[in-house]
Amino acid sequence: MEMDETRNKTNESRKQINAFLGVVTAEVEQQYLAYTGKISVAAAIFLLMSVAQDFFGDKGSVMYWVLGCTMLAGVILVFWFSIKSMKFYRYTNRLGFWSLKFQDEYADYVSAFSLRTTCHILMYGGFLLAILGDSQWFLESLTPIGLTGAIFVLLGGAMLTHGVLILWKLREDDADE
Amino acid sequence: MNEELDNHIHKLRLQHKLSQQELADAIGVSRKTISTVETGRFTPSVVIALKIAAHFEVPVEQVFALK
Repeated sequence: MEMDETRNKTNESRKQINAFLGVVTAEVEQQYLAYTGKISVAAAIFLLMSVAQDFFGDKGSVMYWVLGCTMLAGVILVFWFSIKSMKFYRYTNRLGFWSLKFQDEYADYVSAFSLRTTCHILMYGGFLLAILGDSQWFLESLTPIGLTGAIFVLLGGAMLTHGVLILWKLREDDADE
Repeated sequence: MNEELDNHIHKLRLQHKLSQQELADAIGVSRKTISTVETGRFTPSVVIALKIAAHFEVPVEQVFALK
């Protein structure tokens, strides 16, 4: 018990010293990656809710207002997490900050895995929209949301996948023994 | 889960009375990296494998082995 307390205090001091010196630690990289995941999820909520509002909500209905509020919450969260993530500009290297390339192997693996999956979704979804975008039957099938809505769904789905994969892979479920 | 790779990090950590965080700090990775390697959810690079082996002062084959 006493040993655990000493260990925790040592870890805390180490984190404070590293933060003061601006050292890029693996933990800092993972925290920043987690923020990018949260931003993606919040942006996806905004995009998907805006489509859902077109699809389900009659103006003035309760559903319309609920979807509108959720959309607003998504926008606020995007700004909130973006502002919070700005503090990492000092603590992560510039390459990591902009291209999501990290020195810590697991953070880099999670980042690459989520970006690769997102890239596939965008690539195949974009391909379908490009091929079918001019077809009358396709546009009719999209009637409630339109082509712009379909692009929103594609972007929202891709961003949701990106964020959820990051948060899922970084979840804290491993016991430290 | 890597079905082909077995590792003895947990056993070695217990022998050396090390926490995941302490091992992570010693070789310069995150605790998450150690925990995912230990549970077989992530396969590390040769560099990390060698660093772990060097830290425990054993050959890398004693840390990682094919099933």
